[in-house]
Amino acid sequence: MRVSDKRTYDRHRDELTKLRSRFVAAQDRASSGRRVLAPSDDPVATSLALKERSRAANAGDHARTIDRGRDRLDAADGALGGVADVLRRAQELAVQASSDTMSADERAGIAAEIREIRASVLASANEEVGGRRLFGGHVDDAPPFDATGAYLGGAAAPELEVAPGRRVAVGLPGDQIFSGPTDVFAVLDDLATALETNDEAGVRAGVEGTRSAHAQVVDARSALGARSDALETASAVVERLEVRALEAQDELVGVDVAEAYLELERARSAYAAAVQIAAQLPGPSLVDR
Amino acid sequence: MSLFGLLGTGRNGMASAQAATQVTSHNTTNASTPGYTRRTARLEPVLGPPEPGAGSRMVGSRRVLDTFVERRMLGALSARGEGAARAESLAAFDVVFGDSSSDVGAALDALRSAFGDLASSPADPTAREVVLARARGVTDAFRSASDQLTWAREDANARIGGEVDAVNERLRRIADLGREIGKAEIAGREASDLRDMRDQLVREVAERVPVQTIEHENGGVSLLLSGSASLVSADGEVSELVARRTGDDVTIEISMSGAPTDARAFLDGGRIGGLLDARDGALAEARTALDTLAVDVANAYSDAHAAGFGLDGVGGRDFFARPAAVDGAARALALAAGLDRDTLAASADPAELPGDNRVALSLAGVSNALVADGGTRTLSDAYASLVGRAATSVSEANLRRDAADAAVDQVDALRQSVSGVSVDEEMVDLVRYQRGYQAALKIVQTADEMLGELMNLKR
Repeated sequence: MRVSDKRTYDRHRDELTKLRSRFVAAQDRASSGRRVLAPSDDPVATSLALKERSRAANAGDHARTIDRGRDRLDAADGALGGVADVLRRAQELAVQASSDTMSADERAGIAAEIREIRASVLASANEEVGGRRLFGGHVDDAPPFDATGAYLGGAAAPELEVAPGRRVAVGLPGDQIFSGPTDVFAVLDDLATALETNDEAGVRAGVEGTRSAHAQVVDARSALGARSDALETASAVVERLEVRALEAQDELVGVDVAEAYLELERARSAYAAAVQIAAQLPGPSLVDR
Repeated sequence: MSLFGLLGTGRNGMASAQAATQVTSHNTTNASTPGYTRRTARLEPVLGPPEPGAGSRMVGSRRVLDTFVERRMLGALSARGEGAARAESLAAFDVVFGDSSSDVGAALDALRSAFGDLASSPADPTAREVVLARARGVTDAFRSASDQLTWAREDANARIGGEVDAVNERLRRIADLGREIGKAEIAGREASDLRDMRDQLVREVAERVPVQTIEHENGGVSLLLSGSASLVSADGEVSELVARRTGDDVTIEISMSGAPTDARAFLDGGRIGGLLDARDGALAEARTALDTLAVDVANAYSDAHAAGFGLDGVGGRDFFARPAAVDGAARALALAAGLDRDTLAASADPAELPGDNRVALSLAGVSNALVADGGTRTLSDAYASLVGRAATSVSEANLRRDAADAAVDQVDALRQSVSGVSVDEEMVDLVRYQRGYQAALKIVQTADEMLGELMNLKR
């Protein structure tokens, strides 16, 4: 085949251009840590990576939501812990006061302490965190209990989505803790009144009442505890989901470092060889004779 | 034959060697000229009587070419032009969908995240502001992507206009050159340089639109668009392409037997064909897909939002303004009128305000629900598949461009092996003709000496 000079030079030029662009692309991949530099480099991987990115972001959202939910459950648990303590104290006082040896004056003194306990329970039941009442259910912008102990809040506690398709209620509406089946405020009111009026039968009823009020609050605490556990489970799940999505994304569009450096070295030597050869152009020719 | 005749033979030899050297020099100095076809000197003997003839003469030079290869070259160039123009035009996709920080998918993820926070704190003014800001981020991302796709379309239209001008200019010069060649070749000599110029112009036209050529005796050439519509006729009449703006796009017409006709059907190759294909194919498809996604986003969020109640206890409001039409929906996507921090709905029941977050939850769930593409996939999946399709069209266009480049390269190798200049060859010829010149000079010298000796005979 005849070889024309133009063709020879054109081929060297094209070859150099091609090898140089391969070299530059290899440099970009190695330095950016991305195998897919533009969507068209690998459309399928690009598309799948977008889905994984969305999944990872979703898992990140859930993790943040879980943190918020945990904060609320912890706050509710703390408040109920205090309530349980004072109710135990009320129960002890009721037992003490039910003794036959108690004088009317002594009972009146205990009544004052019971009134204080009632006030502290009411304050806890109306506790707010960040402007939101812990035990108001959905209606959390106003005290859920009025001075008489009547419940004014919402019927349900807000739920949060803590994992794909998994919702957990982060809290309990106050009426389930304080109003029924045992009405905590009524129990304390009745006990105080019985002590003040030196009504021995009433005081004895108060022993039973404070015991079941205490048990009711403890039950509510363990219900909240179960929800905290659910959050922990969800937390492990979304963490795994996030890690998996990030790994998948990296696998799709990220670079295998060893492979990237190998390719960089290959591209560099191919380019260097082509430069070497081109530098020897035009080669032996009759023109030089 | 007389001794003076011998002098004449020597003179002819010197003249033809000199003329042939001129051809070699022309070849050598044009070794890199695009479109140059190497020439061979046409030497022939000067016939007698008297016998045996009076030496050699050059009757001109001729281009060395293979018409079959030249014809294949036109087809290959059309394919290369088409491939290159399509790939250039669709490269816009890599920019529109390559930026992963501000794209529609990321904006939708951010909006979902903001709704998640709203569900955690349904009455919190900051959470509400963030939802509105993220929603504006979604409308911005849609507008930006839509604008870039529109620019790509405008760019294709502008390029089509430019290519049409380039074709028309070349058609006129081809017709002019045809006439010049006709005049120059009356003496029976080939007007090689004019033909090279003309053929180069024809190749440049072929790179832009698919053409076939028919050579005529008089040196003219007819150009047919896709083998059917005449661009340059046998008698040098030019039918120019006419680019016309109709609506948003440029359309191309050609005059066929006097009547302007839509040329789209003939433009299935060349740069113009590639641009039309990109503009009306993948670019238009991506635009529609983006608009459709915008409609799905607007309706899905508005449906979920309308089920809820704002802090003011009023329900039934949209979140995004519902688009009136699919076309242009991505560009026009906007928050519903009157939506603000207080009217934003998070609650499913006006009696359960403000802590009820059920609608915020369902709004956060919108992006994971099958609401896009007629309820077959999620919004982010629809975006991912839109990007996947666009990227596929780019990589396909790149592959086709590379294949077309390789095909041109192959035909060019053939063409160069026939018509390209090899400087070494020319050097050999140069020595050959120089030697011929020296030999012819020797003949003159010898004839002169012989004449001198004849003159001395009388003394």
